[in-house]
Amino acid sequence: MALIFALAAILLSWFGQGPPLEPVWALTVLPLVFWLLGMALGRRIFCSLGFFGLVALATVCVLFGNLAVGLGILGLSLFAWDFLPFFRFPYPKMKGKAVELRRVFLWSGLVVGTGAGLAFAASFLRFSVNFWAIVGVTVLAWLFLRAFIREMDQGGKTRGNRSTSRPTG
Amino acid sequence: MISPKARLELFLLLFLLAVGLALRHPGLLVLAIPFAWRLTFGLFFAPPELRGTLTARRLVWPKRLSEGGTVQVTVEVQNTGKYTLDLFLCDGPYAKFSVESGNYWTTAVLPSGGSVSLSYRAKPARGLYRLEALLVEARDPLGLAPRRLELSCPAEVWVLPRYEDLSRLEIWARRTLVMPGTARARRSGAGLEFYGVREYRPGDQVRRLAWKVFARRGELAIVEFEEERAAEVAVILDVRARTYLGASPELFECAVRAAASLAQYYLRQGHRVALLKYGGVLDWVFPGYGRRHGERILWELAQAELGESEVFAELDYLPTRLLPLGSLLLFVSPLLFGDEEALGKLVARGYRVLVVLPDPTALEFGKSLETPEEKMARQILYLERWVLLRRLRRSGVIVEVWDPRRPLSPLFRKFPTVLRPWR
Repeated sequence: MALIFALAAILLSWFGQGPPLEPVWALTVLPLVFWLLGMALGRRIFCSLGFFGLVALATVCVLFGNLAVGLGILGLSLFAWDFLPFFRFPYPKMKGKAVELRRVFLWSGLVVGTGAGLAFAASFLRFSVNFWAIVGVTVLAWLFLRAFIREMDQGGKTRGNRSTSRPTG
Repeated sequence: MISPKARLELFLLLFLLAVGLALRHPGLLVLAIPFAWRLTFGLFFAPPELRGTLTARRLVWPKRLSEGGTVQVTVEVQNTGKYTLDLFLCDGPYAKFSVESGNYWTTAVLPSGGSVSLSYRAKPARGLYRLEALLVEARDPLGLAPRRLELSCPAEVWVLPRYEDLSRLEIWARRTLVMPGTARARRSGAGLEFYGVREYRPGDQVRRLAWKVFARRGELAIVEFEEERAAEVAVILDVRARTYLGASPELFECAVRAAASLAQYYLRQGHRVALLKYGGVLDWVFPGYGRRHGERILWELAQAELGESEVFAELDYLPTRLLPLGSLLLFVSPLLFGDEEALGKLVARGYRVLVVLPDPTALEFGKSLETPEEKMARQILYLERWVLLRRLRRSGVIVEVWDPRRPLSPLFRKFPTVLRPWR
């Protein structure tokens, strides 16, 4: 499934801009190659590289001025990204796999669809914000996220110095 | 816990924001929105802290089984918390604990107060298995912020080595104990085997009169039987890794089974049996009688593993102080060159030594058609082994080469009566 959606994202990038004739567009197959490598070797790093590639493809499309195609590519690649853990998972029974696939399909479809819709709607908004205000908000958001992740990663662990259980004196 | 997936998406979000701001391109900022939306959604639906909200109970049946048997494992997990949890449960996989039927993992949406059970049947190899904890992962819909917990539900499974019921083994210790048993004590007394005839003394039982002697000589004579007593037996299992180097792992399993069969046979005959695992460390089961002791020996053999130690690399450091002089030593090992000297010394010190030698070549060369090189290797090995066996036999050690593909009991049926201790 992941590969199908990744392939769909690549095809969308090709045909969304009109059929590309320049040889450099052949490089867009690289994310798929990375993904196949990751699946074959069982390495997450290749899959991550493939996902980076797909996001880069969406970014390039947006930079070329085709926002809808970029959002479509991003949506499909996020969809593929959500299906990716399936190839690593032990699924001896098809029944369990079908239930899990349906679950991911529904949730991922919902979130990616609404996300892309929100983004598309946001593209029609016209307002001006001070550049430094945006930078400030971004930095603050980054600091907040960093603190939040650190707090989540503690995972309920105790802090502080603990006394040893050795007898003293 | 933030998953690597969420970290990557967060990085991409920040990257798109940074590049969008740097290039002053609103399209890139728009592209960051789906990421921000997903992360918000993932964090909003992140599962709560699992500690204290889940309880698990594990049922294992049977807890003690013989090699080749199957064990049913059932784990029941209950949600005692307030929230509904989407769980992934995984028990294992444990090494050498192959699952025959059922799944060792499951997924379930568990409402507050609900429970789910995980059940599978496994066929474990010989050993002691401590099934400690169940891995529980509470998932959010997109797998961005899962929470993991190792839910403690300990249970033990003992897989004891399979052993053969040996029917006859006519090798006894040089000395016997005072307790009754089946080892011939080289003295007259209560027993079944004919020992000799002596003149009648007042008080002797009339039913033991030797009438044929009386008819021939005209004197009263009494038939004597040989007393049967218990003996001291030590089963020594060689667990030195270098002895089994290059051999199939099945060879060690066969050696363990042979040791178990011998120990069980002598215990059934009423002897005092000890077990010594010689190799990485010295594992010693003190001599004892009875079924409970037999169980103790099997438990010890269930945990037998190959080990490496410079100290116990040679057989010279066999702890002979633990082995009473005159006792019967049953040594189970494929043997190395040089071991014959140490075993010969044991015989010279007054022990009776029987070596059961599982033949490594039988397992290795019996698998497929031989190439000329394999044939040559087998011949060289055969010659080396022949020299080793010859040296052992000349030093008074009783050696039996055992093909592990065949049962053990026919091996001992063919022992000639010449091996009786008093001859």
